[in-house]
This record gives sequence, C-alpha cells and structure tokens, in this order.
Amino acid sequence: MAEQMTVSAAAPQVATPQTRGRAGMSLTRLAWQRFRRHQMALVGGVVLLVIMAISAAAPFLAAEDAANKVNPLNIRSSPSPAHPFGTDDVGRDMLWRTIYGGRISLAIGTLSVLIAMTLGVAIGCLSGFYGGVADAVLMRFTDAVLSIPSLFLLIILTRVFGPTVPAIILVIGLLNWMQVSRIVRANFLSLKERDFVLAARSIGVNDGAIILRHVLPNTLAPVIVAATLGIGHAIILEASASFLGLGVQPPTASWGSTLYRAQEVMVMAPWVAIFPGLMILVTVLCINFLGDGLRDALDPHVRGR
Amino acid sequence: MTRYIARRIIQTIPLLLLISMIGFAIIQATGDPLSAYTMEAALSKDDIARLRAYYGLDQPVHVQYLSWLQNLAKGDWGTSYIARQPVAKLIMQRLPNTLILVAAAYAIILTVSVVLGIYTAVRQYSLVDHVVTGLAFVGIAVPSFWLGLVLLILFAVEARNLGLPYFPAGAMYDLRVGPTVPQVLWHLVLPAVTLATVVTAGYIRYIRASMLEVLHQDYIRTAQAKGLRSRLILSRHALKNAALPLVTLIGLDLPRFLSGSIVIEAMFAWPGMGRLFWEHAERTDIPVLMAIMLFTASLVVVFNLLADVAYAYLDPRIRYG
Repeated sequence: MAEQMTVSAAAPQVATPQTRGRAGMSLTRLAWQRFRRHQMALVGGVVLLVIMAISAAAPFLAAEDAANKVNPLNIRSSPSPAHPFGTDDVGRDMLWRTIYGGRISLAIGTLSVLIAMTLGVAIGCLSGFYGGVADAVLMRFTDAVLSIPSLFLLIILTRVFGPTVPAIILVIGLLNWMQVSRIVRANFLSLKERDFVLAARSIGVNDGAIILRHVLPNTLAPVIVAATLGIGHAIILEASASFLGLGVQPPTASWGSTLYRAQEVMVMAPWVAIFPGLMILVTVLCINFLGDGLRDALDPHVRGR
Repeated sequence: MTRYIARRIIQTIPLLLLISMIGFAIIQATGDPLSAYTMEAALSKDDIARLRAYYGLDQPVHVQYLSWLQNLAKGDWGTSYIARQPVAKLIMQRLPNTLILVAAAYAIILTVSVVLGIYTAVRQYSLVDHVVTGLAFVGIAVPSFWLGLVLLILFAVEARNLGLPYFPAGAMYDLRVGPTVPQVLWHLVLPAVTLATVVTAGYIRYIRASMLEVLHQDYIRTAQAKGLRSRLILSRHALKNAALPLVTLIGLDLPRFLSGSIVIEAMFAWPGMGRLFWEHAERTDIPVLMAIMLFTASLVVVFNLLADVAYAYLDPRIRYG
C-alpha cells in the first residue's frame, strides 16, 4: 500500500527537468534515495516501527490482564528488575500499562487520522474541483472549525459521543481534517487547469474519474506528509483529553489516561508520570522526523536542500 | 488599505454567525443544563418545568438560538445557569488572570526564540546550534501537560524534599499572603514556562530558518561590504525581514492562548478562562460556553487580520487590493 502511494505521489515529478536527467531510476527509488539521506527520518522510522511492533505483539507476550491486574501488596514500588517501570497506586505493572496504553494511543492516532484524511481529502476535492458555491460553503465551514480551539471542541464533542475508544477516534478525526482539506483544495485549484485534465475531459472521462484517477494522485505527497504529522497531533490530543479525564476510561490504559491518574500519585511515585509521557514524547518526535524526511523525499519543490 | 480592512471586517460577520450556530448546536447536544436541579429531591417536577420555562429551555433549539442571538445583538451575553451571574462579569473576573499568564509566557517565548534563533542562524552548524536545534525538536514533540508534571515533580516536590527553594504547585498566590506582585510572579514561573516551551521550540526553528535565508541575500553582503557593524546588520537589516513569518505565527497562536489553556490552567489551578470553560462545560452552561467560544473565534479572526496588516507594514512589497 505504502509502496503504491509513493509511486503515485511522485508522479508529477516526471515533468520536471531534474528527474528527466536521471533516467532509468524508478520514482520510488528516487524518493527512497532522498529519504535515506535524511538520517534522523530513518532513525525515527525505525524507532517508530519498533514501538509499533511491540504494541502489536503485546497480546502474544502477555494477556491484557498483565496491564490491569491490581496487587494491593505491591503498590507504588519504584522501578526494579521485576517491574522495570515500577508499579502504580493500585500495584499495576507500569511497563505493561505503558505497552498496552501504547496500543490504544497508537490505534487512536492512526485510525483518527484515517478519518481525518478521508474527510479532509473529500472536502478539499469537492471544494477545489467544483469551486463556486460548494467551495464557498465548504471553505467557510473549514474556517469556522479552524477558528475554535480544538480542545474546546474536543471537550464538547466527547460529552456528546461519550468516552469510549471508537467515539474518541471519531471525535479526534473530526478535529484534524482542516489543514488537509486546505492543502488538497489548493492543489486541485491549480491542477484542474492543466492540460492533462482537459485531455481526459475531451475523451469523455467523467468528473469522478478525473478527480480520483487523474488529479488526486498528484496531490498525495503533501497528504501523506500531513497524515504522518497528523498522527502525532492526534496522539497529543487524545492524551490531553485523557489527561482531563475525558478520554479512555479505566481500567483501559492509554498514555494520556495513565498520566491523568499520575497527577495524584506523582509525589510518592513519580515514575508513574515519567514513562508514559516519555513514550508520547519519543513517538511524536519520531513521527515529526519521519514527516520531515517524507516531505523532502516526496515533494519535488523542496529538492536540493 | 482602509477599504481592504473594511471588507475583511464585513466578511467576518457571516463567519462568526456560522461559528455561533455550530457551537450552539453541539453545546446544547452535550446534555441538560438543568441536570443538577433534576437530581435535587426537594424540587418537584413542576419546579423544574418552571425553571426550564424561565430559562427558555422548553423552546425548540432554533428558537433558543435566535433569542440568544437577539440578546447578544443588544449587548447581553446572558446569565450563567450555574453561577447565576452575568456571563460578562464571569469572563471579566477570569480574563485578567489569563492575560497575566499569556503575557509572561510570551515574554519568555519571544526573548528566548529571537535570541536563540538568531544565534543559531549566525553560528550555523556550531555546537550550540546542534544542541539548540536538537532541543527544539524535543520541545516541539513534548506534550505540555507532561512537561508540567515533570516540572512539578522536579521543582515543587523534589526540590522541597531536598530542602531547596521550591516553586508552588498551583494557584495564583498564597492565601496567607494575598495577591501581591512578588507572590503572583513566584506562582507564575512554572505555568508560564510550561506554556512557553512548546511554542518557543517551534519559533526557534522558524526564526533560524528565515534568518538563514535572509543572511544569504545580497543586501546583507552589501551592508557588510560597506563596513556596517554586524550587530547593526543583524538587528536592523536582517531581523526585520526575518521577523515576517513570526508575525503570522503570533497572529495564529496568540488568540488561542488568550482563550486560556485548559490543560495548563487546570493542572496549576490557575483561575483563568480555560478553567472557566472547563468548569462550565461539565454542566452544559450554554451562555458561558457560547461566550467563551465566540470570544475566542473573534480573537482568531481579528488577529489574522492584524497579522495581515502588520505583514504589509513590515514588507512594503505586499499590497492588498
């Protein structure tokens, strides 16, 4: 999937003189070569893969019970070989809570971005391709949502939909699409005037196919970058909501909800606060590096830096 | 320019109306503003019905919205269902506290990011540049509430345990001392630093990048060639152009801060606008929530306009028709 996206994303580069000079190399390989030069992006990608692999493998290593089992005889014990991240105020193992919390946080991050991208791309396509009234209405709506701080909307919407994991994914998805719709719209505005669109139209291709097969693939590069960075944003949003007690409800752990509880015990057990937050930091850091690398690799305009 | 500004202001009216409609629709969907009363055993069904009629909550949503809008047109923001006080008064109690916090945060943000941004650009690839750029990356990725927790653990809890001078863990001043200037400043340090860090990190990167771009331009070389002191070149010639993206950034960020940072105000028990929203969101206090939301949205719109105007002033090449 990622491979295909890269190919189509790099498609507009065919026309640029720089790429023509290096004939014989596939576009994917060109992108990969540029990406590889970005060492921090490589490191970020690898660390992110490791975090995701551990999250995915968690159920095979220990049942979810490991993260939720309380032990009144072993509360607030500091990090030790038996419990490398210590235990919390009811004796749950923080290492397993951090790992299982990561599953929830990463799932919310990626799935909500999937919703946000679908919504943002759809609105951006319609707005940019059709223009006129549709564009005016959709863009004013985008402006309106952008003008309200997302945490305000998050608080209100989680109260409307309830604090379940699917609801949080939906709500964060609904708050994260505006940048993408603007990017896609701007690209559509310029691309729809190009000759290849005229050519497609003149041989009778319908609007839907022009949008999906001809114009959209050319705007995927910035969308992929925005999606990557959007995951980091979504993870922090979820953590903020959970930190206020609005997000994932106990006993399920997410990185943010673990921190919510940590506020009360941080005086006696600071490790409860340290590790989940550190995981958010590392994950978002890796995502940002990866996003920067992808931008350089996929976007022909920033080449040569 | 005046015509441009007038047109922009007129354009904002439908936008604010749209925002108020979206806001009203979702806020009233969050729950029953009178839920606190319906739990009360001493109140009969009739009492609740009378209360509901009194606040107009028995009307259909669009009627409620229109009467809210009508009152707003007359300058009346309504009365809080919970505090039973005028919304305007509630906001005026909290706004100064948020302003203090934001002013302190922005003092940190602008000083640190301009100094470090310029320094790292002038000494590109030096050790300091590498360290600062690395820290800036970390600063952008750090969740601010976690940073706040860590600062609390280190400078309020651990420092106290070790017998060192420590910062207070919350509130605006010590009740035994009262709201004196040194008290408020002392209580301000941790929340302001927490609020400032993420933004500072981002600004350092922007200033460094735009400064690098400017420093490689011909007019800087000309200034160097005619023997101007480098301090003067940096401050008068380079910074003015490099500050352009900063103006846009401040225009985008500042209004969001002025509406109060919910998480940081909640964490440090800072009685500002964010906490006002948070406390009243729990009980669907429509007039208060609508006022804060619209206040913020207006600020966003106004600051966007101000940023555009400031942009034209700083860069005479930009003309708005």
